[in-house]
Amino acid sequence: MNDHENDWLELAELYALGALSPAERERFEQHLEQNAGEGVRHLREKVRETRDALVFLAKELPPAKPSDAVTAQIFERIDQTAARPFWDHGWCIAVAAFALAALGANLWAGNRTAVRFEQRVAALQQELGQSKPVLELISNELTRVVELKGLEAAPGASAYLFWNPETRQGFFSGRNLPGLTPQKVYELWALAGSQPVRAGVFEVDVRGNGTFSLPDLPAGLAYDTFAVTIEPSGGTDAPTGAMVLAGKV
Amino acid sequence: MTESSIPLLRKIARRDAAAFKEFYRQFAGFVFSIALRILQVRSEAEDLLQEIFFHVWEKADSYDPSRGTPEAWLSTLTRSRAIDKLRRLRRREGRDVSEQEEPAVQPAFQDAVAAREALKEVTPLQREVLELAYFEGHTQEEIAQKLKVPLGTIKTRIRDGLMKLRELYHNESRGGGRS
Repeated sequence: MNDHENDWLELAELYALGALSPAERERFEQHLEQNAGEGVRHLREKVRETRDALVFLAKELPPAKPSDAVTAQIFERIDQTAARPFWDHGWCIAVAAFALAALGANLWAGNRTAVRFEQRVAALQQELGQSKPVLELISNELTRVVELKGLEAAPGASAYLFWNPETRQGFFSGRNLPGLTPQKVYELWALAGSQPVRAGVFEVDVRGNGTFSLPDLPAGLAYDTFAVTIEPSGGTDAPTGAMVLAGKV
Repeated sequence: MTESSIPLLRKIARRDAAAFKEFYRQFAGFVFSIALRILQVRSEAEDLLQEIFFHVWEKADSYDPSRGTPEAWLSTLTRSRAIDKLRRLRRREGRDVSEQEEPAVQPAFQDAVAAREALKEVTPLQREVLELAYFEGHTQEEIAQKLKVPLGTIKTRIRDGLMKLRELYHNESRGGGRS
């Protein structure tokens, strides 16, 4: 390694420590930007390594605890903006709000010719009726919420499965799943030990979200894990593709 | 057993309040210690603590594991914002922030230096320059002026001190550190 490179490495250490002058810091950052990629990988690594080491210095500080009042204040604000699972909000309220919004949108738009008001109400009543089994499943005290976490093939994905082991009914709601080609679908599997049982295929919308009610699963098996794989269109009898989500009951 | 911090950050990015609270329980003391060390005033350190954890809540998805541990992410963020805040306060007040109210740092703080067995490999002189840079935001030139020591000597102390810190950190990471 030549002297020039050693200079950059020294700057990388000082950059991580925060001991560079503004001009030196700017020079170093420009160097990183202008030589993006492999050429400066060792410098980025040096910055990372030094920052990790400096954590050790910070960890040796005398322990200090913020006041309970500050903690409560922070938690209160977080609770106000947290994503609440939709069953917390009340499924009926959500569906009714959607229905009202849809009605409002239709009325506002005029809908001067085709859609008659009564027909629309009937359609919405049907939609609400279809949601009833899901509402019953979610409100059943035996229903468990299984969290499926994204695996290496889809680390940003996640899903919740409402699963009633007594009635073997389930409702699946997945988020942030990668889009698939038309020849592929997602398939949910219920695993009883090492035995996978088909639990439904589904597709996702443009945002990677997909929901469906599970078909009736065979009785007499103790399903302890659920997983999602990518399979050929129509699904398969046994998992063959990459596993993207998994979670234990 | 506490849940690992990286999966917690992923959950926080999905607005999971329970994950946030667990992350806070794991790291509030760590963040607050750094803020307090730099700002020296409890109320200012608590303000910064809130700022840092709201940033975590809003920007957890910006955490990149390839750039360092969550602790390094938090300490870099806290240090940087604390020093900015300290400079603003000093400009505004025209005096040292530590004069504003009773320092929050406990008397035991100074004594605690001697108790930091894990860092005994780092000499007091090396430690002094590292702390002046990391916790007080001084450049190496400023440290040389402040300590009235040649710049070359300061550079050597920083380099040697960081080398020892890295060794300590690697030993700790490999499980060879203190119990």
